[in-house]
Amino acid sequence: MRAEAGDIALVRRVQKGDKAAFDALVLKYQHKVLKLVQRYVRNPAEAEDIAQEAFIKAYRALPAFRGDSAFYTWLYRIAINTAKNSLVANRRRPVSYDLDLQDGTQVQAHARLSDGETPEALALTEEIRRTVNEAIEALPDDLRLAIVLRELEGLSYEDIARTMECPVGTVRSRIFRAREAIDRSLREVFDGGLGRIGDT
Amino acid sequence: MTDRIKEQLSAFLDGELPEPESALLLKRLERDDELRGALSRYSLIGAVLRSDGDVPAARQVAARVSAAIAREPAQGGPAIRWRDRRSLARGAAGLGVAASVAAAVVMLAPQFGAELASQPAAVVAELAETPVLPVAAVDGSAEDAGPTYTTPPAADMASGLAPAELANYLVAHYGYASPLVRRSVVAGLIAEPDESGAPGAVPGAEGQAGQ
Repeated sequence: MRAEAGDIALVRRVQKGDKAAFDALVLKYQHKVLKLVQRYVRNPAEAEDIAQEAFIKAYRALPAFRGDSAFYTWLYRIAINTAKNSLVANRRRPVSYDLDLQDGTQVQAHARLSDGETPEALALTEEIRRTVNEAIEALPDDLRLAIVLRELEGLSYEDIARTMECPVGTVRSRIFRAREAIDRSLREVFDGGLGRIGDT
Repeated sequence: MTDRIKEQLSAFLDGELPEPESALLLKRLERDDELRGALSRYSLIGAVLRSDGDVPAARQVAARVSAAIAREPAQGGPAIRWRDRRSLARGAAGLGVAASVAAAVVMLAPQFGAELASQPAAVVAELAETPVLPVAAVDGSAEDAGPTYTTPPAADMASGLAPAELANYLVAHYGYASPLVRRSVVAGLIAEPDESGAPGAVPGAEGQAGQ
């Protein structure tokens, strides 16, 4: 809930003319949106184009966003429609999905994917997954529990503090240190030549 | 980039950073590529953890979107908003028609006005064949209805040059005419609407098409 409130606060900033707030939303959701789009279009370059277009459409439509739904749910619909339109424009057969539009994060899609995913992209994706999982396993217990409760269970800092019986400030610090430890491993992957993340 | 800033970034990602700190962090994000990279990777970590399958790494999306958005007008300011562009496009499309209508009015108005002045009201209405458009909707429900106008009250008519029907005709086409033509033709007939759009204001309520 806190994350959604944070998104809404960012949206309100964008609606008042703060473009940096929209940049933050893009940085936050670009991977999720790209993953969503790649269920329709495997080619990484094409998927990035579609994700980009979806974000730009979202920016333009944002004055009409009232906050009745979570920002990501709204963005999710735009991304899905943009991907579908792209398939139609390219005369490809749209894939069939059983989507729960109320909660974009819990969508289970079984799609026939278009061709085009490159071996390099596959290798990078696999390397990222392996690196993150290994880094999580290597974390001290208190850091691992804090980041898992946040990212997998979606608990607020306050709820995590109650669960772990520690102050909220400690939770905030633990989650940060967990992320930072994982990020150090990730940076090694990207600096190792497989690719770069965050070339924003 | 200090650990303190990165800890703020982590809390920001979770929506747990207080508003004043968020505002400062956003300003820092604007000019700090390293910080933007960290935010992108932090969010990637979460996406990987939450995903059953693999998560692709977005490499160019944020940079390209940021560049594209930089060319867009900022929202909330005086800049032209998205739906207003459609109104402008409609207005531009009707400009040619408006110009010809205005020109015809300029040529015909004096003799037309003189004829009309001598006709009974019913005949005048038949000659003019100009529908009086309904009062402008203000609830935003008539998004595509275009500008609508009301007949100015008799007190607004300048020196009784034309009857109400002729004025209605002119006012109904007021939105399609260029400002120059409007002034030259209409100034003598009706009072100029003010900036707040009192008579004939285009509905300004926001639609919710994007919802």
